[in-house]
Amino acid sequence: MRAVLRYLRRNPSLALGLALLMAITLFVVVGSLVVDPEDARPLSAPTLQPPSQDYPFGTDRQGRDLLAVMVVGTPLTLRIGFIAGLIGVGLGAVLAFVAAYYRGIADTVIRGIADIGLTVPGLLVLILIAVSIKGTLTVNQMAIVVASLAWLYPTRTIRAQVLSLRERGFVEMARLSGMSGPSIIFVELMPNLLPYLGATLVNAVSAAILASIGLEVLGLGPIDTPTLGMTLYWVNFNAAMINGWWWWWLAPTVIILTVFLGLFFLTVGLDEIANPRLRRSA
Amino acid sequence: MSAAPILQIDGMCVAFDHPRGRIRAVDDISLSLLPGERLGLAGESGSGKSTLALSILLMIKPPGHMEAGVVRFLGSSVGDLNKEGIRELRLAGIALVPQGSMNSLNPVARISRQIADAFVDHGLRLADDERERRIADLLAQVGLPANVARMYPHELSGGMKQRACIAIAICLRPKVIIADEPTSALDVVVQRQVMATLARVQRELGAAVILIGHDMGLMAQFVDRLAIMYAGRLVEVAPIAEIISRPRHPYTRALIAALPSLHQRGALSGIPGLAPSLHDLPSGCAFHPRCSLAVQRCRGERPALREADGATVACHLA
Amino acid sequence: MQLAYIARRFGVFLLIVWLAASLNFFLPRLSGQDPVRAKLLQQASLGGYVAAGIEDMTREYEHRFGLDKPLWRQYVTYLGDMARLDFNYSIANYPRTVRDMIADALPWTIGLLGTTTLLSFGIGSVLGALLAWPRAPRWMMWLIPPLWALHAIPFFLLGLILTYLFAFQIPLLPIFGGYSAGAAPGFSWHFVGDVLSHALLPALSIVLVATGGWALGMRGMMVTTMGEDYVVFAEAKGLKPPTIFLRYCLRNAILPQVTALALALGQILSGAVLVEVIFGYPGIGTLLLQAIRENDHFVIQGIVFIVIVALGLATLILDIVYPWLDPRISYRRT
Repeated sequence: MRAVLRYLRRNPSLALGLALLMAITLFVVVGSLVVDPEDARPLSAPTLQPPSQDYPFGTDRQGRDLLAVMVVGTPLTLRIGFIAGLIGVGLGAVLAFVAAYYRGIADTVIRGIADIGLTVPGLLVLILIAVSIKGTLTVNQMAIVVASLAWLYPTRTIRAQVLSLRERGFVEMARLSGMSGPSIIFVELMPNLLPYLGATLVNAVSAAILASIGLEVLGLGPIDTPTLGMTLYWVNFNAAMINGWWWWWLAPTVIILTVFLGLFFLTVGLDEIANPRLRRSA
Repeated sequence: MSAAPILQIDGMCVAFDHPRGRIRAVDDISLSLLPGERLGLAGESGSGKSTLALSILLMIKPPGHMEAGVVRFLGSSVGDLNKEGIRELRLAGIALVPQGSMNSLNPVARISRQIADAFVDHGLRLADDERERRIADLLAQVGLPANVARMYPHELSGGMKQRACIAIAICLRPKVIIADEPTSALDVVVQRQVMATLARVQRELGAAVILIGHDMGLMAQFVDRLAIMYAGRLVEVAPIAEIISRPRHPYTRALIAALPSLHQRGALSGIPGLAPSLHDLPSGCAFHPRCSLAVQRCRGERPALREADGATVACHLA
Repeated sequence: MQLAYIARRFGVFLLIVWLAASLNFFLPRLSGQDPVRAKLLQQASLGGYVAAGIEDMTREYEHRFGLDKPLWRQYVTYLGDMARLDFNYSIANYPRTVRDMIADALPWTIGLLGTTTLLSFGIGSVLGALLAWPRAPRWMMWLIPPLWALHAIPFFLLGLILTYLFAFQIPLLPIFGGYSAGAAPGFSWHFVGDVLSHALLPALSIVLVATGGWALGMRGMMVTTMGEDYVVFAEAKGLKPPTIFLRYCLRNAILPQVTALALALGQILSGAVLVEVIFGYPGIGTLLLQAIRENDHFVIQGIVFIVIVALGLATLILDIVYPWLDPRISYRRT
């Protein structure tokens, strides 16, 4: 335990990132104990109330208690990001290993698709997909939609890492000693890449959250669910800014800000673990 | 030789601050170089040779720093110069031909531009055609065709790149040329060409040369005097003929003995053990753990450099 | 040969365009939606009645929009239309064509995106280079933490924060629209000033965030470059510090940054779309939002297609320009 704390002092980014994310988690956990999730539904409170004793975050135009909305919505948004990020990195890692280890046609095809996919603006393709699906999306469906593109970037970066590892001696040794392809991938390559995979995962989660919020702000999200992005959608729809209902956008903005900053510092912290060369430069 | 030394180094010490402790890459080195002389500086990798070269030009960067030492060029101390003065001294007075000809040239600039850079920044204002003529002359001096001027570094072979570096180094007619491992990455045939080029330009300029390397055979063919470094310290300095025929220091002896000979046949001999890590130097004489002649005194007391009939050696037993 | 390289890159560009068009065509149809019928039903229900002749109306419109032909014929016609940039009529705003609607909105987006990208890349790169240079003024180091923190947040988030600051705290700048309501568009100074003041906040949202990213990237690249052998030799040559900084360090460090720019264009655009939505800026973003709300599929498809083509074109141009910047990448195949 003390070793962990000592390391955190040397890696302030990691510490800051973890602190921010823990603050969010605390908020959600304590909040769910204190708040009734039903209050996140419309018409559970008088509309457009500024923050007060009864309604610490105020209420919105449809009569939702914004504190409840935040407590319920934050884990939903995070869930989308996490599922999509996990699928994205999982799929990306598999494709990357296959491409980088076996080379040849598999590599050309996978790399070609990833490269072309990355030149296209992801949000727009997601919009196309979301618009093409009948009806509105549920939270889990959104996660799948976002995941469909989330593997592109991880595939490319993990592939680059595996390629550089592959050239190193120990892979050649493993192959000469008769290890099979898949076992080399799992036993030799993967453990060396774990910190890097961790950093990539956090990155992917952050990107997935951004994508899902983006879709929601455009109105393509699960319309009845009080996620963070949907709240911003309603803020925009009702021109809350111009009308002076500042509390309505303050809560989701602050939470989104904390989440992104937390994930960012976490990524930087993990990068430092993954890439020891960065450690020396202070 | 009664001429005054053109370059004088006294008590140079360069230290590096490392998380594991401070190490001395260059430990109390003193050398003098006469005009037109060829001095060799030999030693294993990591013995501090390149660091010494950089320290002469006051180019040691953090985490390294010059702890002590005075460098005198043409009698006056280099350390007394201000930033501008030092900058002007580089290339015009003392020129460095760098190690690693693979990467010493700017990848995005043509060769002519890399020579012209030096002209401009040293205050040499030339008309276009005059400049082109000079560049062509320089290239011819190092045996490169004139069209090299328009080329980029990646279009040249290793030997050509090294010779381009030499052309840059002599473009302001320096008095001292420091060649840091100029032939390391090259094959033997090209090595010969490059060394021949270096010899020729040195003679034409009348410049003094410090040749840094670890190839004793190369040294034997090129230098007048040879200095041997070990673990950052100077262990022997002597005329080349003396070193080859009568090496005084056990390390020098081992180095000479390790040279394969065309005349004798037998097993190649090396030096047992590994070069010491600078973090963990042996006490007393740095070479004593690998020395077959070591005695108790070698373990306890660091030998000082002394004259020993025709050579300067740092050994208790010389 | 130069031509082969350009031809190959152009081929990839065409491939992307074709893929975009096909994606646009097949995705909506996969879910079995019929946009015309849906729109008509929607209109009818708004009017409070369902006319008896709605089936006939639907068939007529479908015929007009070409939706009653077999799929492969629709596809071929579609590809031809895409090539001519004919995106059909807007379902929601009939009889305006999609092309006209996009043509109105696109210049705004290009103006915003073009200037902000150039500004943030330019300023960011120079700033980053200076931050890495040991002889730079000390006070610049203080810029690093805010730059870092800023570049972690999405553009639109900063947009929201700026809106709050300038709408409520310091009501100085307009926070909505492209120009004041009622202002007559034209080339008068007054109008131009109006446009600029409306564009300032959206532009700031993008520039403040993006500059940080480019600056930090450039700084990292510079640190790597400054350790290279050719920089050591440049110093040994006694070159002046500005020469070394510009011609040896910056000139080399900027190359990977340009590559990064080409790769980041898609992301920058996505971010800009959301910024436009937040500010009601009359570009592609707001048009897209409207189209989504009104279920105007043709507009959505038109926008997506144009954007993908535009980005593909920008990447193509950067690809062709790059060998000119880096002589090691010849026009021959790597």
